[in-house]
Amino acid sequence: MPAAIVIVKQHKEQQHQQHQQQHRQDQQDQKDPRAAKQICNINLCGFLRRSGADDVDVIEPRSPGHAADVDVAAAAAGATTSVAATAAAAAAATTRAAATTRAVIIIMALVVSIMQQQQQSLLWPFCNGLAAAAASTGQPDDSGDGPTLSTFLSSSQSQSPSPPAASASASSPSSFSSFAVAHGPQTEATNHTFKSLAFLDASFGSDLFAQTDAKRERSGAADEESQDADTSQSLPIFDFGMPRNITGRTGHTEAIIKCRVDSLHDKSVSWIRKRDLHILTVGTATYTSDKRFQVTESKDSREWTLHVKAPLAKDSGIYECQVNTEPKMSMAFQLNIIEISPDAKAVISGPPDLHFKAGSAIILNCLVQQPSVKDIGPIYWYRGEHMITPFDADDGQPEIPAGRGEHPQGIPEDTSPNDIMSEVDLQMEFATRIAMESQLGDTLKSRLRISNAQTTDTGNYTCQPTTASSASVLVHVINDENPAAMQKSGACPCALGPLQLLLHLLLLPELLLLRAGLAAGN
Amino acid sequence: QRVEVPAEVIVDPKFSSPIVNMTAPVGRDAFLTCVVQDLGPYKVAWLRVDTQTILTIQNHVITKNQRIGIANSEHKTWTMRIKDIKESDKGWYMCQINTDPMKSQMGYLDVVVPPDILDYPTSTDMVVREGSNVTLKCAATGSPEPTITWRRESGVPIELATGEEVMSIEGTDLVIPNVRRHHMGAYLCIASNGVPPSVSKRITLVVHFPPMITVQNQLIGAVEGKGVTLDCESEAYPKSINYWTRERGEIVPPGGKYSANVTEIGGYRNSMRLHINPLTQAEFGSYRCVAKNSLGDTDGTIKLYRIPPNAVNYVENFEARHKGKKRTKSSESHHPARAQEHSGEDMENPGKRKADLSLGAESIDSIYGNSAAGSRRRQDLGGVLLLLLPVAVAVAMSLATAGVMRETQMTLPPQTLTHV
Repeated sequence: MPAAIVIVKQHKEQQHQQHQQQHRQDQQDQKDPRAAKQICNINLCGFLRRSGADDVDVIEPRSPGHAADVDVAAAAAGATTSVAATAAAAAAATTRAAATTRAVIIIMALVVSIMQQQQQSLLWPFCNGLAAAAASTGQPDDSGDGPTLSTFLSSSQSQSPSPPAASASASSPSSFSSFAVAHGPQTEATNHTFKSLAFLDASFGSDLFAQTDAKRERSGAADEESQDADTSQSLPIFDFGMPRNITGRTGHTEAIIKCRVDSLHDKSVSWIRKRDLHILTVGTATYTSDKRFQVTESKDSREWTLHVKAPLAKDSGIYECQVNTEPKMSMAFQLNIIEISPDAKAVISGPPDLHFKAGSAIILNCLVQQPSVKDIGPIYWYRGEHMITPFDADDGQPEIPAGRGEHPQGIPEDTSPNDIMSEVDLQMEFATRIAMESQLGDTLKSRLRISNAQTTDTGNYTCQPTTASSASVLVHVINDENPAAMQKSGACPCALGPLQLLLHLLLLPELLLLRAGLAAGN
Repeated sequence: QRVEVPAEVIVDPKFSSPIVNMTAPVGRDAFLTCVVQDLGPYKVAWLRVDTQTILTIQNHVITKNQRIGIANSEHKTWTMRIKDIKESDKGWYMCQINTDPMKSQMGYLDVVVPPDILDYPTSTDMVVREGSNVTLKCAATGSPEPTITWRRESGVPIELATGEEVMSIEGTDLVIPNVRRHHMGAYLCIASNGVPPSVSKRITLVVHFPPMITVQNQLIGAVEGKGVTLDCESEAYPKSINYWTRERGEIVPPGGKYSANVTEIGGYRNSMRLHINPLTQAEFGSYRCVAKNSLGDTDGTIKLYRIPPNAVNYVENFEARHKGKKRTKSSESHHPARAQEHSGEDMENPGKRKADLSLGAESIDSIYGNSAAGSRRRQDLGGVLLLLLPVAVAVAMSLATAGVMRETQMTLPPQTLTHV
């Protein structure tokens, strides 16, 4: 118990230090509990929402490899997984006999049957269960903000409030609460812990397609509602405007094929390789064992993007985006992977780590070396995973990078209008400080200049030519006031090494000319 | 600690045995089985190769085709089931394991369809004229392609163009050049392709031809006072009207000493019999058996001569005399005697002629009753009545002139009757 509490507190402190915008998200989270209260008429529902958001962060440091799965599971199961996350945090410090798990399994089966009977009110069984636990442990129901995680975990207080009123059918809640009350307070907390842990195991199961089933069930319910309005579903519609002839190169990070389908409803989109009929992805799950293939789904579930990481020449061929209608509907895409010459590569002048003072200008020079190939193509700059685009007054506002919202490490949440404006302002402000110059001819060069450097400009910058492999450099923007930065600035003289060499090279011709003049004088 | 999965040694999975191809008829359930060894964490998928459609992955049916199902036994035997299969389900199916590189094997599902005879262009019942050429056609669908066999009903052999006779013949077209009356009957077109049930269609071939008369005994001798039977055989299709007449053309009246019947021998063959009992002088002479249908008419002649009462002696003497003389002379000797008797009869019994006329009418009804005529017979009956009307008029005229002229006028009525 105490260990879990400490972990939660530390994580929250880190969040406050690093991200100030998190406050806005927290304010938005506070709105959701109020809506939840109206549904269940119990304060504990608000507690569920808040604890869910926090506990997903708690699990993340322990198993970073499963972070994406946790997010997907949270999106699929909703409150169920949040309760599981809560139990997982508590279970770290709890040790119980194996015999107790049997009772947990029985309770879980009971809960599942109740959930199946009442699909409309998904949250109700958990609210009632937690309310029963609160009643048995003497937790008050009248708290304004709802009980916090720490107060719930340290359930040693003893009070006697009245049991909450049930909003669903009469028989189920009474039987559930009576079953819960039959055991003591300690057993009650333990049962909840193991019950939620069972859900966690289910969500982490090796069967990746269970999630697809969960989505199907939800979409199935949506279909039942939509059928009241429409007697028949419309067939999926492919967007034929998507580029169907994609060219990539072996040195690039990845090749992307986008497939856009409208009116998908309960259908799923799969990617298949025509050459050998190899299934690559089904829905959001990856079937192939080749880790280089992944699929991403847009928020509106209309755009399904196949990512081929580190593409090889053998990946060239026809790829099919297939919808599982009967008969199937599909669209074919031609992927061409051009093999880059091994000696063609980009070089960013300077050491791998560059340090700049805040307020100064960041200048990066990228030179493309391809001695055996005479090929010309544009040169792109990336910061992290996002392409850098200079601000253009004619455009008005630059487009927000598409990948920003789909970051796997991020928590998928709906951003408020204020957040959107804030991001747009940040992007615009960054774009106005950018200038790019490219020279495409006998020599391929590109120069990126960022004026008035800010500490937020720190990051990994990548120069990606079309015809050669990319090069990256790590940029650090330092404040003079920071003592730690002072130590790093000590390395600045090392950066002068290349400049001195350059000066020597420039002086050599003049020395030769002087000698020639002297010889002519004699 | 619970979340952690213990480390395991993963063996590369492989197929234990190839997919067994399956053949199933339309409407049944089909199963294709993929046997995998050491599957481990990998997954098994089924695809349709022809259309490159994903069907199942592990225990999940991906396609929206409701007829596809998947079952597995200990993650080793992965059986894909297709319910209520259609002919379009025929093709190759792939079982795939998501190793890197991917492993797969394919199996073939053959969908067979029982044969079914097409109404077009299969022939229907045919009516043809004898002597023309006939081609019976039969077309059928099914999978595999059905074989067409022709057969005649009741085990009758089929006569080929070469004259050879066979019990059955294969081919969609059955050609019968210069069709004959014995080709008439029911033909069976049998379609079979090894998938039960086989189907057959019955096609009736009707051959029309005009009547034909066959007389076994053209000269019959009988003793006066006894009975005798005259016999003719006729062939005709459509069925003919059959009746008897005397040499002057009058129809033999049924009833009394005359009794006539027509018996059907085969499909288009009839036997005509006329019983006369007892015999008197008036009954001896020539008789004709007549057959008539919509395509034509024909007749046969039988002569009935008198044998003296002492049958034993006169028969021997007659045969001896006949051998010594020519045929022509004997016929001439009969003719004048008959003429004398006829004239005597007319002068002595003028009232009897009226009785003969009324008996003639009864004879006509009796003949048609015996032939069991249908609606077609009634139409023919009207036609014959119209033909007989002039005969009655001629008889009446002959009676009117009988009192004025004697020998010369007597010869005119018989000639008129002959012309009719």
